Amino acid sequence: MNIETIIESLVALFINRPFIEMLIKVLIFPGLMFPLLFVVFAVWFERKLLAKVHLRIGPLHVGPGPLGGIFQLIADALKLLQKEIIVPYNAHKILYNILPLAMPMISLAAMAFIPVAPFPSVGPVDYLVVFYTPYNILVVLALFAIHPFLVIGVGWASGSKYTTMGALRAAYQLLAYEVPVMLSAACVVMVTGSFDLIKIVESQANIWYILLLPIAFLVFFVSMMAELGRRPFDIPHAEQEIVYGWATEFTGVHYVCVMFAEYVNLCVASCLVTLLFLGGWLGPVLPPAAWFLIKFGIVVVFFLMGRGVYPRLRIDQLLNAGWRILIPLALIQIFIILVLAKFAPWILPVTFVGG
Amino acid sequence: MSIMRVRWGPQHPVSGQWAFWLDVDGDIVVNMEPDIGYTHRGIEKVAENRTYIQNVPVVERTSVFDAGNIVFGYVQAVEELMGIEIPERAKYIRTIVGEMSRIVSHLYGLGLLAIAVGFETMLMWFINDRELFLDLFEMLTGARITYSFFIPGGVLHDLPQGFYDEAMRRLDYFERRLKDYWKMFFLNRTFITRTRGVGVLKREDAIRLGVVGPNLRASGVEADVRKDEPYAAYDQIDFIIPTEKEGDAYARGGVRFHELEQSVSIIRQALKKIPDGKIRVKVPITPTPPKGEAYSRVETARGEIGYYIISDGSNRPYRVKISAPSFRNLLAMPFLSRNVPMADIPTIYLSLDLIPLDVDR
Amino acid sequence: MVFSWIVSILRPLGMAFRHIFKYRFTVKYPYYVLETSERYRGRPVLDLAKCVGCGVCATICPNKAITMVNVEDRRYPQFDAGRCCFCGFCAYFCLTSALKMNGGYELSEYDKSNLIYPPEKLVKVPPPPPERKKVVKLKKLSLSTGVTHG
Repeated sequence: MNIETIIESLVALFINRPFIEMLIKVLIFPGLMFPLLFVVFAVWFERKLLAKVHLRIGPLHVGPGPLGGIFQLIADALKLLQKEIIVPYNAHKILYNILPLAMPMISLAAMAFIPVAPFPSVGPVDYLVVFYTPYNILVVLALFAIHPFLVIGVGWASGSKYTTMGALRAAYQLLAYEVPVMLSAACVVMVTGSFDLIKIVESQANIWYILLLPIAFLVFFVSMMAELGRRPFDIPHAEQEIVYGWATEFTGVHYVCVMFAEYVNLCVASCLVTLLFLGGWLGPVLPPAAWFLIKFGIVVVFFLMGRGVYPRLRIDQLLNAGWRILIPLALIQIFIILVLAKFAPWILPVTFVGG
Repeated sequence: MSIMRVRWGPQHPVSGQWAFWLDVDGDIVVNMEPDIGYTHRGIEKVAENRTYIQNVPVVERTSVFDAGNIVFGYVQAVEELMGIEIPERAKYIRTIVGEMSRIVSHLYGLGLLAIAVGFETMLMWFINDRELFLDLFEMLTGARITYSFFIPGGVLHDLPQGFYDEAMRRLDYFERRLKDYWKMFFLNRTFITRTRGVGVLKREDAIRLGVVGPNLRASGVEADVRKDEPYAAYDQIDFIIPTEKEGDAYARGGVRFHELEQSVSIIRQALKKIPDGKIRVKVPITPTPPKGEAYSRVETARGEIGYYIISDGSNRPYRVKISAPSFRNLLAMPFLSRNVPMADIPTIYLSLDLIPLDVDR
Repeated sequence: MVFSWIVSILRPLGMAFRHIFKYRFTVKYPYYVLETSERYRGRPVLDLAKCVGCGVCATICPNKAITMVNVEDRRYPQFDAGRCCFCGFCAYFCLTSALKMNGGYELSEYDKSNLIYPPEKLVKVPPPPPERKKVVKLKKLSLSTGVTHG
C-alpha cells in the first residue's frame, strides 16, 4: 500500500457529502455551535429585554453600538474560569466536583436528538439532526428529567444549609411539573400517532397544534417553565429566600457549567415547544430553518418575559397549581381528543386505529 | 424532627443590615429572633453634643428614606421648647415636603415588598418614579435625599419659581402611573396569591404589640397622628386615612398604595391653598431654650415617631429620645414569623417596611 | 371568575410588552450629566471680598467640616470635603453671603489631602462639565411625549 492510496482513501472517507453533512449537523446547526451561540445571545437578550421592561437601558459597554454588552458573557466566563475552585468544608468532594460538570453534558445530549429543519439535499429528504431515532421525543424528555436529580445531588453534596433547602425544593418541584409535561406531550403523540418529532411537525401541515390543542400547549408551556426554573417558578433558586438555592456555593468553573446548563435547557425547551405546537419549520416563502428560528425566538421571548411580569410562587402554591390545575387540564385535553376521534375524526391529522 | 438553626443575614440578598436567627423545621420557621445593632450610630448621644440647629442633619440620619418627616418631629419639639409659633406659609411648605417625603418613602417600601416576592419590574418602576419627586426636592431644597430643610422656626427656602407648574405636571403623570401600578402589581394574580393571607396581624394583636403606621391601619385601626393630633397644616386639608381589614401583607401594601393617592391629593390642595407671608421667624443661630421638656409626635411613612427633648437651659439638649416607628413594628416580626414557610419570611419582613437604620439609630 | 383570573394573569404581560417601547429613566452618567437646580447643594464656594471672617459657618457646621484659618492676618474658612454632609447651613447662615453652595458635586480625589480646601482653593468655582459630556436638563424629562433622556 503506497501513500497515494492512503491519501485517496482518506479523501474518500472525509471529503464526501455525507461526512460534511454530518460535520455541519454535529458542529454547527443544531449541534455544538447553535446552543453555544444561543447561550451567549440569550443571556444578553434577557438582560436587555428585562432592562427595557424596567425602563432602564441595560448592558451598554462590551460590544458594538446597539449590541452593547453582548460579549459581556464571554468576558465573565473567562474571568470565572480563572477563579479558584472553592470546595466547602462540609461538601462531598467527589460529587461536588463532578455533578456540575455533568449538567451541561446532559443538556447538550438532549439537543442532539432534536431535528430542526429538513436539510437542503438532492437525494432523499434528510433532516438537520445530530442523531435520528423515531423515538426522539421520549429520549429528549427522559434526558430532561435527569436534570432535577443532578440538582438534588448537587444541593446535598454542597453541604450547606441553603443548598440543601434549594435541593429539597427542586425535589418537590419535580413532583409538580413532571406529570403535566408527560401528559401534555402525550396529547400531541396521541394525535400524531408517532413518537417521532419529524412526523409530529409534518402532521401540522394543515393546522398547528397550538390551535388544535390549546389546553395542551398551555399546560406544556407552563410546566416547561417550571422545569426550567424560570421566574414565576424559580423556587429552587429563590434569591430573596435562600440566597441562591442549590447553586449558592458554586464559584468559578462550576458556576459557569451550572449557568450554561440552565440556558441550554432553555434552548431545548424552546425547540420542543416550537416543534410540538408551533409547526416547527413549516411556513411559506422563507427557508425552513429560518421559520424554525423565528418561531424559536418568539418562544424564547415568552419564556424570558416571565421574569419581568410575575412574582415567584411559593412551593406549596406550585404543587397546588400542578396537581389541581395543570393535570386536570391535561386530562381534559386527552378526553377532548378522544371525543374528537370518535365524532369528528376529520379534524385530526391521522385516523385512530381503534377509533 | 430536628430543628435547624439558619442565620438569615446580614450577608443575604434581602436581609438588610441586620440578621435573623431562624429555627426551621423542614421548610417551616418555628421561631425567629432578630439580631439588631449592626447600624447603631448612637444618634441620641451624638445629639447631646450638638446645638439645636446642628442636630437637624443628625436626627435626619435616623432614616434617610423619609428625611422630611423624621426631622419634622424634632423641629416641632424644639419649637415647643422655645415657645415659638411658625408662620402659616412655613406650615404649608412643611406639609408639602412631608407628603413628598412620604411618597418617596412609600415608593421605596413598595419596591422592596415587590422584590421580596421576586418582582424586579415593580421595584424598578417605583424607583424610577421616585426620581420625579427627588427632582422636585432638588428644586425646592437643593438636595435629593438628605434635605435638612426644616429648622426650628420655619423652613430654609421659599417655593422656587415655577415649582407649582412643575409639581402639578409631575403629579399628573404620577397619578396616571398609579393606575398602571394597580393593574400590574396589585391586580396581578401571582402577586395576590403570594401575599394574601401571609403574615396576618389581627386587630387586637396589632394593638397589643404596639404596631404603628400603615401596618396598624392595615389591621383595621384608624389611627393617624395627622388626624388625631393635627400638626402643621393638616387640619386645613381634606384627606382620608386608608384602612384595610385583612391585616396581611397584601393589605399592608394596599394601605401604602392608597396613602400614595392621598398624599398626591394633599400636595395638590396645599399648593393651591398656600398663603403668602414669611417662611421663618427669627431664631438665633445657637438657640438656647429655657429649662424644660417637650414631646412631639408626627406621622412618618412608617408610622408615628416621637421625640422627647429635655433642655437644661444651655444651647445643647440634655437628652434627645427618639421612639422610632420601625423599632415598634419590629416587635410584630417574631410574632408573625412563627409557623410560616421559610418563603414567607422576606414577604413578612418587607411588608412591615422595617429598616435597620431606624431600629438601631 | 375564570375570566378575571385570565385577565389578571395576561394583563401584566401586555403591560410589560408595552413598556418595552416607552421612555427610559436611566441617564448614562459619565457621558451625560443631569443639570443641577439653582439651589443645588454641592461644594461651597467662598467670595474673599465679601467674607468678614466672623466664623458663623464654622460655628453652625454640624460635622466641623469648616475651620477658621489665618491668611495674612485675616480669618477665612477652610473646608474639608471629607467631613461635609452638604446640609448647606454654612451658606444659609452666612451673614454676608460670602459662602455659596455650588452645583459642583464631582468631589472625589485620589489623595485624601486634596479633600481639604484652604481659602485660596475654596474660592475657585468648580469647572463646568467637559465638552464630551452632554448636559441633560431636568425639564427635558418629558413625561408624556416619551422622549428618552439618556
